[in-house]
Amino acid sequence: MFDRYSRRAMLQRTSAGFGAVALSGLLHEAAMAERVGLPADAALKKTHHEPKAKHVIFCFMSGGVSHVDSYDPKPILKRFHGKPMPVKLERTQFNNNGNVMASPFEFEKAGDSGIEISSMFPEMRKVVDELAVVRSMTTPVNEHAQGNFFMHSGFPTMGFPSAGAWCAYGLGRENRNLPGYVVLQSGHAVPPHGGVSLFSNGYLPAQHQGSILQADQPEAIRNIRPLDPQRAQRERLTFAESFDREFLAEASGDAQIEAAILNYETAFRMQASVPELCDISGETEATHQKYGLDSDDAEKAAYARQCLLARRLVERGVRFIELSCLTKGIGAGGAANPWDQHGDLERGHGAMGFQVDQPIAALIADLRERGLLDETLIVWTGEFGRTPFSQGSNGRDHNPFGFSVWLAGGGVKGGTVYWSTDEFGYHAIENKCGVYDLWATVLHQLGIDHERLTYRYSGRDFRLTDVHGEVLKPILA
Amino acid sequence: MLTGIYPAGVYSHVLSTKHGARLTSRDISLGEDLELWVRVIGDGGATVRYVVQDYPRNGTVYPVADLSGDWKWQRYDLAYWSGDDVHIELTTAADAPLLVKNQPRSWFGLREAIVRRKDQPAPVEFSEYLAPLFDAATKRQPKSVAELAALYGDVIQAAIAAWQDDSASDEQALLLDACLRQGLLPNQTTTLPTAAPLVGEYRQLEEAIPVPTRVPGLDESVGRNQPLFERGNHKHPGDPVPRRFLEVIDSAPYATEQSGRLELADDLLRPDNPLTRRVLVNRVWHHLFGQGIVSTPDNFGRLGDVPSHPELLDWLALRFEADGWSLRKLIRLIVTSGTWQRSSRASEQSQELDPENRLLSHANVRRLEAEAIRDVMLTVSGRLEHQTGGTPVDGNAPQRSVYVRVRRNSLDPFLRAFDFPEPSATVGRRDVTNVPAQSLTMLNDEQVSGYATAWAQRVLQLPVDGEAGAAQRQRIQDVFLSAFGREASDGEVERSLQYVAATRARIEEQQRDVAVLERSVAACREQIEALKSPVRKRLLDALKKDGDKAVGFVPEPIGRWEFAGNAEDVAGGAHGELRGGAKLVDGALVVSGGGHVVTKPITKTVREKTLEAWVQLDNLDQRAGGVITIQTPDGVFFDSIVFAERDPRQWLAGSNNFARTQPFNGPREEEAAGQPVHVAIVYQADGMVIGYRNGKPYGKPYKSNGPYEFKAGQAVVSFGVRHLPAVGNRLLSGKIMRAQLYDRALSAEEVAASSGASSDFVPDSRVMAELTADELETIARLNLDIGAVEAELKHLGSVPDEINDVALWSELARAIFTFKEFIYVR
Repeated sequence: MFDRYSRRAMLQRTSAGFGAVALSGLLHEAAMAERVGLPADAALKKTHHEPKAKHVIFCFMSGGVSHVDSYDPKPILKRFHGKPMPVKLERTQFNNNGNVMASPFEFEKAGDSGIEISSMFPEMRKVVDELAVVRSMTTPVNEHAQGNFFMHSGFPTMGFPSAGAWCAYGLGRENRNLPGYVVLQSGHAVPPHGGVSLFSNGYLPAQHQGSILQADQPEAIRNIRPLDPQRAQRERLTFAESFDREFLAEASGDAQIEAAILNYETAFRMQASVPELCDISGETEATHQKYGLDSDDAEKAAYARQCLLARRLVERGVRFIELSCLTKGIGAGGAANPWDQHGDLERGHGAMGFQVDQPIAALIADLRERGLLDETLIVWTGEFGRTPFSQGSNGRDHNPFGFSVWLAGGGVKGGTVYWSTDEFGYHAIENKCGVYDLWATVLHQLGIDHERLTYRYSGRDFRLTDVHGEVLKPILA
Repeated sequence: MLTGIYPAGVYSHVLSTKHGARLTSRDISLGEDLELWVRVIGDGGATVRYVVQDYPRNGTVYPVADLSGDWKWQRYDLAYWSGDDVHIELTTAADAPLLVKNQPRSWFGLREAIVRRKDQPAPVEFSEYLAPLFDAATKRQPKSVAELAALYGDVIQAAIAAWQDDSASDEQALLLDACLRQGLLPNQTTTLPTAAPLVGEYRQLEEAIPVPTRVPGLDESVGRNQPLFERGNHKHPGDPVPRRFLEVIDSAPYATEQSGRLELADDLLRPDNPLTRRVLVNRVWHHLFGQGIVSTPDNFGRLGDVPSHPELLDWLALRFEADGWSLRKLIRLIVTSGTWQRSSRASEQSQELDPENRLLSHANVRRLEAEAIRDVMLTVSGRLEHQTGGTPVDGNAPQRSVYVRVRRNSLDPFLRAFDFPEPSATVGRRDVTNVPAQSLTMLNDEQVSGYATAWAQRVLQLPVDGEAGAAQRQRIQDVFLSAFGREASDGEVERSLQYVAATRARIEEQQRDVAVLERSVAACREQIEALKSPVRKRLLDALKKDGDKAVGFVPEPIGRWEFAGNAEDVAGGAHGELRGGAKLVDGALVVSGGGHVVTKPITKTVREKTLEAWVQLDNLDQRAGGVITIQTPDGVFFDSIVFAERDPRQWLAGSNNFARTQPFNGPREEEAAGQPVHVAIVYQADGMVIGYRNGKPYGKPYKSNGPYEFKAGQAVVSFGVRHLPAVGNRLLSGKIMRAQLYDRALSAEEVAASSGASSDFVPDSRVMAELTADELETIARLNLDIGAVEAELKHLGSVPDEINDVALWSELARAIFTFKEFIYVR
């Protein structure tokens, strides 16, 4: 907290004030960056090894997507439909278990790789060759808040840094005018169960927490819209700065005060950079069509807006971008858990699939076209899967014992499947992996050894993968 | 008198139903396929359940049953929880661990509890209370009604005698209870004169029993050693750990049957335990100096940093003990020391030799904590309201920050921006970060802006001596004193006053700029109008001469208001009544400043419908006013043509709670302030809602779950208000030339025809069609000019109309909020 620059260094860095940008500071930082490969605010001096990816887009499907209805075809379910499961059932959250329920969605081989994807995601079939589908994911927790915390931070309770915070902490921000970890929302989206703590910096420095950005509101970030015209602000800040410089001298060049002064310059610039980011008026009609921005389905249009902004955030160097699904209110899928179809699975998952399918496929294709996909790692997952047997008559309860996730871009080997679950899709049986392995892999692609990105807190060195995690080498190119 | 006579069991209300009680069993380890049966009775909100993993809530697999006045067998299937331990729990209403009901009187009783395998027949319910009668009857069979009656009498008397004797069997008790309920036994004070005074005394005493206020806490019952969870994972329990102090210091288990917390508390506070006091005084030191003697206040010893001055730490800890653990004395001791009073100016030497300032040769520069920053703003603005205690408040309440509600995953955003920690773990040493959110808050937060204005008002109201200049200087001194705790130097006073003056100059200049730009826009508009109006007049005259030529095509409304000198409905009978200052001027209804019209009830039921109006607005920036609305008379259900409720400059089909509302996403309205426009909304029977402007589709139609049916006699139409009652932002500012209501959904052609057929109105498109190519080019050029000027105006931003002292000094206050000195202490 009290580490200081030497006074000589401080005097070299005097800012040029608000009439111009703090050029000297920026040049200095740019020079630093070239030399060591990472932005000046990164915790790591440089990456542990050659990175493949520079950005992560985290498509979180809050509520839990049924894998046997989407990415994990299980033909045996048709044969056993309506019959009791032939194996012992583990406890489910609602204890209202029915018989085996075949998937109402049809699976089809897609792409050159021939990976089967269900009719829930027809557009994703067109980009399947970019995907590495992991069908043997597991999680130890079976309830939403715990599952969400666990998927985000590696711990089932609040208080720990989210993956986005770790990435921003370790690798810093390439764009100083935007946060390193951005959580996109739009329409009526809300944080998943667990709340904004899911995006927390935990014990890491606070600037790494997720900043919520409303993709379709004029006030995209809280307090981003100036209350006063630019000239008024400038004059105010110039007036304040004169006092600040004196105060800084009185305080013997204290580094935290210097940083606080620079902070105002960043905020001032953000007032322009954030609206610029959100202004999609320059995007072509073709882009609108591709993403589905003008869909009649309000939730799909809202999600498409997030996907488009995700691409723009990548273009502007943001490190970690998280997207938020919107509820359609079907089954038990509420605002904080849209995919949670304990009932009415076919209709609910159909509607949710419709919401995200085209926008995400368009995002992948768009990034590929613009040559950005190789440096952008996309992660798609919910907090757990769903049971192959029904809940009630037409829903599925939570299933943590085996579910599907996929990764794309960022040096992942497209068109691969890492399997598998048992014939019913109930338990993962081959290459069982967990959330720690997922993030170990993501960090690896970012050039980070997950065992070496640590933070000392409460007497020990914490990390995103705690004391676990293996990189899933087979799905990497 | 008696509420019941009970068989053997455990009861909570023997003396009074006001008494709180809780009955729990020991833990039962569950094998496979077990069930629980409890035979229970109770009332007033008392409950019975089994408890697994100490979970206090109810849920699908955590059933909780309310108790009712009759004995019943309650069954619980325990198969789901096999492998876990459960215990049985009965509580009175206000004593449940979490699901508390604030009912002052409740009670429970338990006769039997059985855990057994599932596949067995249910316990048999039989009329136990008849058993004594049958027993007696086997010995002397009654042969007549009289004998039966005698039998009853004898049996009951025997039961009473046994009851008096405390030897009644369960059956006898139940028999007596049944008799009580049937009224066969005297149970009133009037019929029991001997008992009455005793009962009276009991009642007095019972009345006086206070209903306790419960507060959540831990109850001492049976202590249990818990297993160590490996890596904190409850699914990997290790060996049980005895309840005791820190093993490394004293590994002897506490000799207690209870939880051991009392023993732990005693150990923490014993005179020969230095640890607690060291931690405490270190925290106070950290608070006062910005860094503790141990710089990791949450971790001493191996997991933390070494103390910079261990002897000082011990000395303070001992002194603290000697002073009776008084925090005030400790604080006074520290802040009256020379060390604490040093300035924050660091010498060259100290910067070279002691950059961390562990030797405290000078004061550390510290940033105020989030709470203090908020409190300072409340104080300088004069908004702070002192209170002691009370319920937690919202972030924008005027109480001190310690009273702001802490909801751990929904923290107050202002406090959070300034590093208020997430309260999931202890944070003895807060982060001091620099995040843009802090600067953005100080620059743009509405609440902060409000504090600035309040501060300015307070400063300007201060009594001052002397004339303008001297008075201003005094005010600046007050500002510096309350913000920074020091006087302003002469230079600072001058610069601040210059800033105020410069602000005035800037605003004046901007006002002049705005005026010039606005004049130039007006001039362009005048030029455009000069080209259009002769054409418009010519067309209008032609229309009037020809009458309703396009009549055949135009559909018949069920309500038509032409506002030609009155607000009558010339098609139906829903005549309008002018309210709130609405006026009729030149064949139009003028609504502004609250004026509106409400009609009499409609005489036809309307389901699918069309709303149509010709309207000109006073300005395009107004929000949420309604042009024409059909609604229930209380305004609770309505459909309306609304301007800019959700999105600015957008026509919207308003409805109650947006039930049938979605944006049309049509083009922004740019013309309706200069000329009338025709707007129509069609509500189809299939729920589709379609908007039209000047006869052409407006934006995209959408599907609603309407249409809403407004019944004849139970709906009214209003003009100029989004819905009744006519308050707030529901009022329109403009004029309505004509309005029509249809009881069916018009087609696109019908709307187009209707838009062209009004004799007060010529659509702009027709006017433009009659202009020459040169005129059109001129208009296009003028529109481009207008666009450029409006962009400039936008760039200038909002400039106040009026300059007053409050506005200027608020600006100074806003600036001071951004000073580093405002939030850093040196």
